[in-house]
Order: sequence, then structure tokens, then C-alpha cells
Amino acid sequence: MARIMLVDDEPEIRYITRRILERAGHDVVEAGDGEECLRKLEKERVDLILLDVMMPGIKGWEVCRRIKLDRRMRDIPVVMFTVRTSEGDVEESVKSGADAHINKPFEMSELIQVVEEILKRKG
Amino acid sequence: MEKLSKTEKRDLLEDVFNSIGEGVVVIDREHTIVEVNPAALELFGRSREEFIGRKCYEVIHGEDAPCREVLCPLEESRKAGVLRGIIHEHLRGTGEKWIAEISATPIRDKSGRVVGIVEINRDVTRQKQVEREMQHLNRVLKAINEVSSVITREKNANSLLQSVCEILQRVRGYRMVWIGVPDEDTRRVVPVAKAGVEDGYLNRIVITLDDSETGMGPTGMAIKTGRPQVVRDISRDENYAPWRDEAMKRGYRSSAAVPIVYGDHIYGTINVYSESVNVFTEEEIELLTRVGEDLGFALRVIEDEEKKRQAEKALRRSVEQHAVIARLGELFMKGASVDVLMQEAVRLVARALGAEFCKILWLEDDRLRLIAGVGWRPGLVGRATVCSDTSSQAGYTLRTRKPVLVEDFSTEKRFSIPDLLREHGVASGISVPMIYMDKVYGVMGVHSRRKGKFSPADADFLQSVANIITAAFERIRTEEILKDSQKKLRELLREMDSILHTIPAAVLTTDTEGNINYFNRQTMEYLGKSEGEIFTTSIGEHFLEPEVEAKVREVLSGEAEVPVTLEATLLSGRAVYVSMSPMRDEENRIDGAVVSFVDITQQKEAQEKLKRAYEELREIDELKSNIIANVSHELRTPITIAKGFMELAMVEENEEDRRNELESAIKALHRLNDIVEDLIEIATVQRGSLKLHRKRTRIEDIVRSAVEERKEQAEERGVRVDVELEYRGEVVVDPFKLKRAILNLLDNAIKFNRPGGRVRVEVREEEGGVRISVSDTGIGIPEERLEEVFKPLTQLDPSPTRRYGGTGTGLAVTRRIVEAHGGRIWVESEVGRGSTFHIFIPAG
Repeated sequence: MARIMLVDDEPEIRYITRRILERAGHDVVEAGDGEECLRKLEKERVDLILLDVMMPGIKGWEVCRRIKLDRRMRDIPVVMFTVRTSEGDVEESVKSGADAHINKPFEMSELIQVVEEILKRKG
Repeated sequence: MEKLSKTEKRDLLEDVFNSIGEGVVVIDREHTIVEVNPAALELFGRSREEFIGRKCYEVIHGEDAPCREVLCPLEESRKAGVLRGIIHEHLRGTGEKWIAEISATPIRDKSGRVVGIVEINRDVTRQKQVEREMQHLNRVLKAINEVSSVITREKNANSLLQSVCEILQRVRGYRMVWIGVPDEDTRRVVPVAKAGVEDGYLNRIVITLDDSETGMGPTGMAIKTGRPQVVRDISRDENYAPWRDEAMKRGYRSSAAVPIVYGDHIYGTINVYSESVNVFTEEEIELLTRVGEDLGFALRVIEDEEKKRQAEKALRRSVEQHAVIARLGELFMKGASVDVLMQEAVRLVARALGAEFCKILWLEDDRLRLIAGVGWRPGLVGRATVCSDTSSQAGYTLRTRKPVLVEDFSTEKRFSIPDLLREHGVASGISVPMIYMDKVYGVMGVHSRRKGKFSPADADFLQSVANIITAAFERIRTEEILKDSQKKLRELLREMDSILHTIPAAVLTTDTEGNINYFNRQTMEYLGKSEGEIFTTSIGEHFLEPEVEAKVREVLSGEAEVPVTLEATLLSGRAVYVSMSPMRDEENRIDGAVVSFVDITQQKEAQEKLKRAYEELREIDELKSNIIANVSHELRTPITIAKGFMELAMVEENEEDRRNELESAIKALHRLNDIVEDLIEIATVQRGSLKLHRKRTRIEDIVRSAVEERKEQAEERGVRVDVELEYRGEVVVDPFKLKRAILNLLDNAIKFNRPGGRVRVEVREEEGGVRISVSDTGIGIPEERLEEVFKPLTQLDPSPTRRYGGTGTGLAVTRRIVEAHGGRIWVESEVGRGSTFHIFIPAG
């Protein structure tokens, strides 16, 4: 049972993912872009961030970097969640400090699995 | 005086008679001496008794007195009267001779009859002696004068000496005169001239130059001491012993020898012999000495003359020889062939040396051929050969490589006379080698039928001529080779030239200063200048960049790494690519530079194009990456959504929720389909031409259909779409493609709009066609991006696609379609207000 920040610019993706996470018993906070995410993170406490890469404004990787640089937020695990699936992209995720990288399209079960594993680790 | 008495007169006369110094003798008609005075007695050296009563011719006129026959004063005085000045030699009683000057006066009686004579004898011995001596001296002087004139006349030493001997002998009356000269080799005095009674004397005697007895005679001593020597009496002189007998035999009683001197040099001696003793007075000796000196001087002069003559001869010869050499040189300069040169040489040499034969033998394999010559039997020149081994003079010369002088072939031991020479009666000759730079060409020679004709100086001359010929031969040959290679070079240059003038590049060469000294035709074209304007100009002048000059200098200094290349610009503005490298001579020294340049304007343009194309490609590549990112994103997003919804639907309990989810999935798939279609469209459109299937259609139908299709999408976004159809006519277009084009415009207008915004579609008639305008109230396009929007896959910001969907290919497709119809598309836009896209389609 965790509070998960979900950042994606596609409303439908947000919808689907929210449903999946909620079904798994988690709380979801949404953000439509990187800025909104960072803004919300300043105010709210979350246990994990699911971060899309291809967004308007700041890309997800940059958001991740900023999160990881910020003392207040850096402990929160970040899982990249993106159509950018190449090796280079995964490397980019790693370089940005992400804790995991999930490819879209994804399996529902895969998503849940990864999330809960990360939560367990950090928990 | 008072008148004297007879007795007084007689006494006086008696006193006079007894006192006068002259000898008076009175003789009567019968030649009887009747009276003598004391002076006569003294003079005659006899007593009175010997005179008185005796016949005059017995006593005073001597037995052989000529008076008996000729000068009897008695007889004479009978006829003539007073006789005076008769000279008569008397003999005294003591045996001494004395000379009287007699004057005889006839004594006449009253009737005038001659009754006797008075003879007065004056002793003129001394006088006569003096006279004689004077005469003698005169003669000697005369002799000297004659000698002097002979000296001035005679040029020949031997004949001069001979003449002097003869003169002295004749004029002075020496018994014999001879001149001797010392011979250093035999240490003897050798007679070289003689006159008078010699009778083989000189063959019998030996006079030496040493201190032996044969060297102590007057001649020897004269030479030794340089002083005149007198032998008063040969019969008594001790030193004359070795020759006395022979001398006495020939009547030589006294002798004198005077040296013939000039300065310190004693040429020899004049030796004179007299048949009397004690004959040489001091004066005579002195005068003889003078003769000796004059003779010495004369000999010296002759010697000098001889030397001068020799020198003149030598000079003449030298001049003549030089003339020969000069002539040959002149011929050579005028370009005479080797043949002509050789012919002239043999002719001139033969003449200069006075030789009957002259030849040039040329080495061919192992024989020497007579290739030029003068004096030989006709037909030989050009054909005859001589063997070249050392058995012949020529061969010998070749081996020794030195001039060979043969004085007499018959006594020559080094080699034998070849047939060629023998048949012409050659007795002597010279042959010299013809060598140039250590290479032997042949032998040149001169020959004569006379022995000993040639001297070493002649050999030197011949060698000089031979050297000239050899050098000329070499030079002519070299010149021929040079001419040949020059000809070849010229041909080569012509070839090169034609090549150089055909190649498209400008090629030029500079000197060590960088000034142009050769250039091909292209250079003139490139520089746009005439020959005169290019020649000797500095190469840097023709380029805008000062670098060119600097590079040329670098190249010329040899410090540059060559070839040096650079891009430069001509004064005309034309861009060229310049290449330069140094030129080196045979000694590897830099003597100029070769520069070529070629127009690279085209290349540059091509380069530019290439660069731009490359840039474009890079852009495209970037775009491609973006596109791939975009496209993969675009494709994956709806897939994710569809998949997500379907998975949700699978576990959805609520039926309605499940249906909604499935519907959402389908919608996502539609979206996916659109994207895929777009992509295919792009691919097709990119690859080839757009194929239109034109049909006559109503524009209205196409527009409305498109608007209808996007109705739902617009509603979802809360965007209102208005259509204004001012033109309802028909057009000949491809309806599907045109609809597609309009759909894309609508997509953008709707996508890039704000919620509650408006889209307006207008269709107007314009000249020749139809204008369709789609305007929105969207975000607008900045002016600088207006051009780009029509490029495929460009989006102002990739991300709005996420919001609005689409791949960014729409506008590009639209443009393609419009342009395929022959129409135009353009956009007006204001950031923040909105954009209006216009397309014009010709009616068709």
C-alpha cells in the first residue's frame, strides 16, 4: 500500500495505469508533465515515482535528475516508464539516476511486479 | 859684312868647310874624291886616306849603290844642275847603316864647264827612321781604318777576321798574320783566319791554354793575361822554344800577339809575325791593341746581331706559327667542318715549317688512316693506313703520348720507317699525338727529305696545332651532339608545349624571384591577360590573397613540404586550387618553381552543395532519430493504450466499465491506424511522384466530407468548425488525395487549437482555380518557422503530438498533394492568435 506519483502526458495512459495501480491497492497521484510533478513533489510525500520520458516541457530524464539532486526527494525511488526502449535509452535512464526502466507497451503484471519489488527494497 | 880678301875668304870657307855638320865631298869629273870635310869622315866612318883619290862609287856609293846606275850626281849635275833630296843608304866602316840625304851641286869653271860636284850628305838616319816609323804607323793607321771599315761592313765573323788578317798583312807588310780563338773543350787555341806566308805553320804548332810550355807563348799569354805580348826575337826568346824551329823556317823573326777583347771577354788573339827583329814599337803595339779592341767590339756586335737575327728569326717563326693557329681558330669559329679544318691545318703547317710533307692520321680500330695530308702521292689521302703499334713512328707516338722528333730515319733506333714514308724518300720528321682529355684520336706529323730539318721548337708548334684540331674535333662533335639533343629537346618541348596548352589547368613556371617566365595558354585565359602582361610579372600579383606570394617564396627557398597547395582567388574573383613545387637543375639547386592552378568554382559550388546536402542529411538524420523516437513513440503510445485498456477489460468486473475500456481500446487502435496510414503516406510520397487520379468533382463535397470526418475529434477538443463555401463549382482533381490534404489541415487546426477555439474553412473562387483556407485560433507559428512547417516530420515541439496526436507529416503530405495538382500552399500566422493555411488549386 503505497503512494505512487504517476507522471505521463497521455491522459489515457494515466487512466490505465492508475486503474492498474489502484487495483493493486496503491494510491496514485497524477501529474501531466515534469513541472507539475516537481511542484507536487515539493508538497506531497510519495513512496515511488512512475516517470514517463517523452513529455512536453522537461523530459522525464531531466526530471529524474532533478529529483535525484534534490535532498528532499532523492530517496524516493524513480521508475522510468517509456516508449524509449533502446539500449541507449535504458542507459540514459540509468545515467539519470532512475532505479528502474519499464518499456511501453508493458504487461500489467510486469508493472505491478517491478513497482512492488522496488517498494520492497526501499521499504 | 866687309869685303873680305881672298885669303880671308878662303880661310872662312875653310872654316865653314870644316865646321858644318853635313858631310861634304868634292868629286871631280872622273868620279875621284878630291876633298872631304871632317863631318863627312865622321858620317862615313872612314879616314881621309880612304876617301882622297879614290873613286866615289868605290867609297861612298857602295858596291851596290844605285848611283852607279842611276844617280851618279856627276852625270846628273852635268845635265841638270843642282840635284837635291836624293836619299842614299850608306854603310859605315863599322858596318852600321846610315841614311844620307844628298844634294849635289856641279862645280863649274869660268866657262861653265862642269869640272866636278860638291856632294853634301846630310845624316837623315834618324829622320828617316822617324819617317819610316811614321810611315809604318801610317800604314798601321791605314790598316786600322781599313779594319774599321771592314768591321762596319762585314757581318760575318769569320769573314771579318779573315779580312782583318789580310788587311794587316798587306798594309803593314807582316810576314804572316793569323787570328786564333780559344777552344774550351780542347783547351787549345784554334786558328780561324790567316794571311801572308803561312806555309802550314799553323797546322804544325800547338798552342794550349794551360801553363805548360805550349801555353807560355805570346798567344797563350795574351789570352791568359789579356795584355799584348811581344817577342822581339824569336830566335832568342825562351818562351818561344816550342815553335821556334817552325817559325824560323818560315822566316818569322819577331812576333806580337794582342788580345781581341770586349770588356772582360777575350775572343782570341791577333798574332802577327815580322821577318825582322825588334820591329814592334810601343805605338804599333798600342795600335794593334786598338785593332784588337775594335775587333772585339765588332765581334760582340756581330754576336749581338746574330742574336738579334736569331731572335728575329724566332719571332718571325713564332708570328708565322701564331698566324697558322689564328687562321685555324678563325676557321673553327666560322663553323668550318672538321675536314676543312684538317686540310687547312696540314697545308699551313707544311708551309710554316718548310716541310714537304704533312699528315694527319686518324685512329680507326687498330690502324691509323691518313685522313688529311699534303705532299703525298695522289690517291693516298683518305685511303692509306699505317699500323698503330710501336714499330712505326706514329704508333710509337701514340704509346708514349709525347712528340717524337726524328732527325734521321736511317739512324733511328726506336722504330722503323713505314712504307708510306720510305716510298716518299722521307729522312726526318716529327709526329705528335692528338689527344683530348685523355682520349687518343690519332697522330699528326711533318716530314722532310732532308735530315735534321726540324727542331724541338717545331715539335712544340706541331703539338699546338694538333691540340687545336683535336679540341676543335671534340667541340664540333660535342656541338653536333648538342645540336642533336637540342633538336630533340625542342621537339620534346613542342610536344610538352602542346600538351601543356591543351590541359585545362593553367601551368606556369617562375624564376628564383618568383617572376613568371613561362606559361601555357590556359594561364592567359585564366588571368585574362595578354602575354606581355604576364611575362616577368610576379606571380603573387595575380591573386587576391597575399598568401600566394608567401607560399611561392617558401617553395623557392626549398623549405616547404612540397607540393604546396592552397585555395586562392584570382583578381577576377575566380576561385582556383593552386599547386606549386620547386624546379631543380642538374646540381639539385632550385632554379624556379612550377605552379599550376585550376578552376574550382564548380567544385566549390559542388562542395557547398555537398556541405549543404550533408547538413541536410545530418538534419534529416537527426530528424530521423527524432522521427524514430517520435514514430516509435507515436506507434507505441496507442498500442500501449489499446493493450492497457484490453488488459483492464479482461479483469474488469463491471460490465459497463469493461465495455468502455474495450471501446477506448478500439479508439486507440484507430489512432494507431491513422498514424500508420500517415507513415505509409509519407513513405509513398517521399519515394516517388504522387499519382493523381483526377476526376471532375464538386469541391463542396470534398470539403464537407473532410469536415464531417473530423467532427468528433473537434467536439472532443471543444473546437468549433465552421465552413464557408463561396464557391460551389466543380474542379478536376483527385478527390481522395485532396480530401486527405484538407483532412491534414483540419487535424492541425484542431490539434493546435485551444479548448473552445474555432476552425474556419473557406472555399473561394480565384483566377484560374479555387482557394481553400483553413484557419484556427491556435498557438500560431513564429515567423521564422513558417517555412519549416511544410517539411515532413517537423513539429514546433515534438511533444504537442502527445497531446494532439499525429506524426507531423500532415502538412508535408498536404503540400505534396497540392503541388502535384499544380497548386500552391502557404500560411499566415500570428503567435498566440492562430494560423491560416491557404491552398490554391487550379481548376484543371
